Amino acid sequence: MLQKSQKVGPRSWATTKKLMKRYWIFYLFFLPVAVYYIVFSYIPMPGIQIAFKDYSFKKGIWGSPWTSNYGLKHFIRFLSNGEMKRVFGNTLTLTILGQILGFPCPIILALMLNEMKAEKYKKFIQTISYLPHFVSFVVIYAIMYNFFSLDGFVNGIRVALGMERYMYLGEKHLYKWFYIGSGIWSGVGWSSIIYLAQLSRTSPELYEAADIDGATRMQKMWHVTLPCLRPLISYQLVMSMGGILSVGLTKTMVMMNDMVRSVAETTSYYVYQQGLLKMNQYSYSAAVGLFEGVLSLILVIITNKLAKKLDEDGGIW
Amino acid sequence: MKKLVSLLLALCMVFSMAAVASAEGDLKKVTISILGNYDERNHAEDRSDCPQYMLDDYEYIRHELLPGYEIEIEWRLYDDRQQQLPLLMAANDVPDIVIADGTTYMEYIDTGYFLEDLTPLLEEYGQNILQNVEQRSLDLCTLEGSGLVAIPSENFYYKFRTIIRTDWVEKLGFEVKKVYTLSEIKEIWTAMATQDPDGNGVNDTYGLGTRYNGGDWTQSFMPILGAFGGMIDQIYIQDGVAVPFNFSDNFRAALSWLNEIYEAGAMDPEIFVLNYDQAKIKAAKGLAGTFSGWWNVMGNILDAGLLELQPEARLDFIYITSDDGKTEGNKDNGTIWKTAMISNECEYPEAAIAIINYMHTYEGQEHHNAAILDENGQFTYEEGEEQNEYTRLYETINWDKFAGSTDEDVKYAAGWRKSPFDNLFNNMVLRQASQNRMQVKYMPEGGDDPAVYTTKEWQTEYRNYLNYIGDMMHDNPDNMGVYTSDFYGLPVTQEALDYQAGLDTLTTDWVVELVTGKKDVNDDAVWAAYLQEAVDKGAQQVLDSYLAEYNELNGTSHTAFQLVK
Repeated sequence: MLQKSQKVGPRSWATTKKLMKRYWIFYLFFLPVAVYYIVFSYIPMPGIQIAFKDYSFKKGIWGSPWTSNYGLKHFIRFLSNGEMKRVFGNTLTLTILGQILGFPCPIILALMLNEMKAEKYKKFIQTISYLPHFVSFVVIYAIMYNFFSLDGFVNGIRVALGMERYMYLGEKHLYKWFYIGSGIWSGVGWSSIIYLAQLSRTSPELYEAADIDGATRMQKMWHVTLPCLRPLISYQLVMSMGGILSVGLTKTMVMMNDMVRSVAETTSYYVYQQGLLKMNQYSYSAAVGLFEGVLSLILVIITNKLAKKLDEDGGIW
Repeated sequence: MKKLVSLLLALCMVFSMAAVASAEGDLKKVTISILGNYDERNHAEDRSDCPQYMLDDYEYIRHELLPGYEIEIEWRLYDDRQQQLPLLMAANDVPDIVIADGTTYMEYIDTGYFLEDLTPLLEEYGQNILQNVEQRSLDLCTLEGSGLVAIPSENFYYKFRTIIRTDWVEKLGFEVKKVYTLSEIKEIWTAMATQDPDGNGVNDTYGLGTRYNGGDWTQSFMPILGAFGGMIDQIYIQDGVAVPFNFSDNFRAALSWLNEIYEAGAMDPEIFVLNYDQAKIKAAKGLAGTFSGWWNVMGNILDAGLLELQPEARLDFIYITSDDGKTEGNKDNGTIWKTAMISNECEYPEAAIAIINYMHTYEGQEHHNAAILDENGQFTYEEGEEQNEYTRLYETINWDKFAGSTDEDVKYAAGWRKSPFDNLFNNMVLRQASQNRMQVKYMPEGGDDPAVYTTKEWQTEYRNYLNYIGDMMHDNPDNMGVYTSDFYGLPVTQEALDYQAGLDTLTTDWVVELVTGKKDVNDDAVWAAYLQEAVDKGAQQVLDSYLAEYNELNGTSHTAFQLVK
């Protein structure tokens, strides 16, 4: 096994070729994946330049002229027309709160399920918690509406208790909680699977040793189970930070109404509105999208560094 | 001898074939591609479900539309042609005929993909278009330096209607009539909310409900805004000043009135929340006494369950006017329904124009919706003439229960809107005129069934409405019960691109707060804050930019309303 003090030098081309020949079947398996990413992710990448150009259909991506302000016209427009503050603020509110509240939930659920002894009950809970993942968000919102509309279940209880009806779905300050809460409800079970899989690989000897040392269940969870999950948690955290600025467009469109519009419009909705619903706004919407992408990349790099600082095995690279 | 005869016969055959080949050679075989929508509710993508009589109509287009040409139509159908078009343009694969909604053609012209100055082509191949399209619509499609760049198809003025529960009006002791003033309707709506008109013992009804298919306060409030003298997002030139209705005193007065309705519990409190389906369900439950809707929704609502829940339900159209009766109306989105543009890659633009020209005839408009032509390429509405299949179905259809349960209904429903031309080349005057003459002729007598009674009334009303609008369009275009922005048809300015999205959200946000009473619309400081925020978000710049365009195009020197003085 490679020791930490050993240095790994660059592999020679001859060695690489030898390895590729030996493991050709694995490379063959990898080939479709590589082709997919090359075709759909790398080849279109030069198209990013339209964010710095005034894109013209006739002239195409390469032939379109560069914009004024050293190609930054569309970025300046987004940053200066007031939309950035609003839609970006909404996006950050939803995603950061979503991360803070949503990220620990599947871990907690996995830990709780791991502690359950009654197998049948555990499987029942697992199945129930996975189900919402397979339900379209349109249906989830319909359920929410039936619960929280003026004639809904919750208002029915309020009326029965002698309270006035309350417009839950039209309150701006509640929108983010509905948004995040519905996301957690629909995704927590599914997201916990990966943690449960990791927990199933935890050596029973560790728990036995903890038992011998007289550890309580909470202590075992804290000192055995969680450390086993730590690399996975840091990996998941870095991965999720990559998408932190990507708020689901469908979900926004389903949940948005006129009363909450000003707090519901996010960057993805804005890009859709500008780029797809209007003509000749491709450069502008590409600039907004690129701006979002660059910020996401920066967040991923920072999170990766932090994860590595917290844990030697943490982070992705 | 036999050999000689055989030789002669062979020569005859060769000459005959040569003659045929020569005749065919004179025909230009042309394929014209048209960008259209594929709607699975209407038809199969490959048109395999089109009735035969409909497919036969293409023979007419193919051989007789343009002498010397054999025209094949190649449909390019997509779920959303408007969204697909940019992708086709980016791939340099633009169909010969492209249809754009409203005046959005302006956004495409700069791309250089479309023919400009179409007038010479229209003069030669498009006389029907020139005769049946209003000059003002043609003017709206004419750009300086480029001439006529798109062929407009016209729409009727706004067809949103205000619908009321007449059975409730009667039950609550009010007079059932066509026109109510704001004061009268306020009293009725308040009674609808407080006096339990559905008689279920619970105060769960209200006067003003959301628009039938929901999701847009601008349409839910349309009759009220109309009674206050304007429409949202429109700009009017008043005494040489361009005044945006969104920031006018009239708009403020309308919001104040709506706030009173809201506070009185006479408006559906979820009016800003309901989406399309929720609004439809709510309307069918019979909780609202009045709502806006497309002209033909009455039958839908009744059939959607309202009559089952409340068999006594009756609906009718009403108009709401200011107390002095002077202002009333709905929003006019402009006379341009769609525009057709011709790709500059189109090899035979004359054939493309000929197809659009054909659509500007009675026959073309019937084909446009349901493709009706008999085997002679003629229409047979008059008595004594031979009927084609479509006309026969029209005769036997149970119009009072449209697309209902009889076999003939089902057959008719199967043909309805199967035409690939569906909604692409409307000429509303021709289309409605041809439909009217059939409907008037074949309308059967109504029965006692309330649904039949009500829907029959709706049809009669609609016929009258169309005639009324049709008359106005041709005879008195300046005096309409609709509001049109004086800036209608102006090209979108850079300032509008920059700021309009934010301004739309701002207006919605403020309207919600002012109508629901979270902010006091009658407080001058609050109104000033609204105007100031609008200015901060670019409202004045957008107005100024449009006014500059308007002044330049019209040679005027109007000034802009100053939102903040």
